[in-house]
Amino acid sequence: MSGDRHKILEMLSEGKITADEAERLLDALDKDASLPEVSPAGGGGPSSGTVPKYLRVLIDDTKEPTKVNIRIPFQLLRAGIKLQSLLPAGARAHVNKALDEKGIGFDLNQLTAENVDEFIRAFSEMTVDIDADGGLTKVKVFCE
Amino acid sequence: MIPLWLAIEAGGQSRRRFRLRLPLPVIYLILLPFVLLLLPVMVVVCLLRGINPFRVIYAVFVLSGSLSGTHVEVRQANSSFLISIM
Repeated sequence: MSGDRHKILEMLSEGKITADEAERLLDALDKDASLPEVSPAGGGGPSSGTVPKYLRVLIDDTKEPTKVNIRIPFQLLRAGIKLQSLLPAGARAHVNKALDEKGIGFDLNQLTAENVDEFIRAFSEMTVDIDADGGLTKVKVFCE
Repeated sequence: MIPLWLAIEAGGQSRRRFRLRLPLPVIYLILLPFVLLLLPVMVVVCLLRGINPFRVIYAVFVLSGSLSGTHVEVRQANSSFLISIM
């Protein structure tokens, strides 16, 4: 564990910062650490070539009022793929058959970590921005 | 990286709030004897089912490690809920 990370967790345990603040600081550290991995060789936009780490869902309803802030790591998806590879061949064939019966032409055997990385990379550009009820309800789904 | 902290908050603004911050390494240490006890059972079950037990252990580690960074927060006028894994 790096010194900075340890210091943040210490500050959290001492109650100097809140869980939210600690999370933001840890995120900033993670982003710094992942900077060398990002190679903007094409010189494209800020997100070109980057692999998003989290799926974010933000809902802000001032009418109710309700606020929802969800952050799911894409790593969970990769872990799910690893778990899927543990399925016995018979079970996979059964799932494939059931999917086929529902009209979903999806082969679980084709699902690999590489495919998922490609899928996640494609998500980096995705943003869903809904502004309803004259700005009273806002929904935002994006990757970061 | 395996999760190190679990934060759970629940309650309303007027009511008493429930706040829990768990240092997960302590929980891992508490659970370690149970894991060691159950490990042979898990290995036997995996071998009977024709699944490589080492792959299962690896997958469980990957799954628990991937939970780090999960944050779910819902706040309403009278109630709120937060679960954060760091």
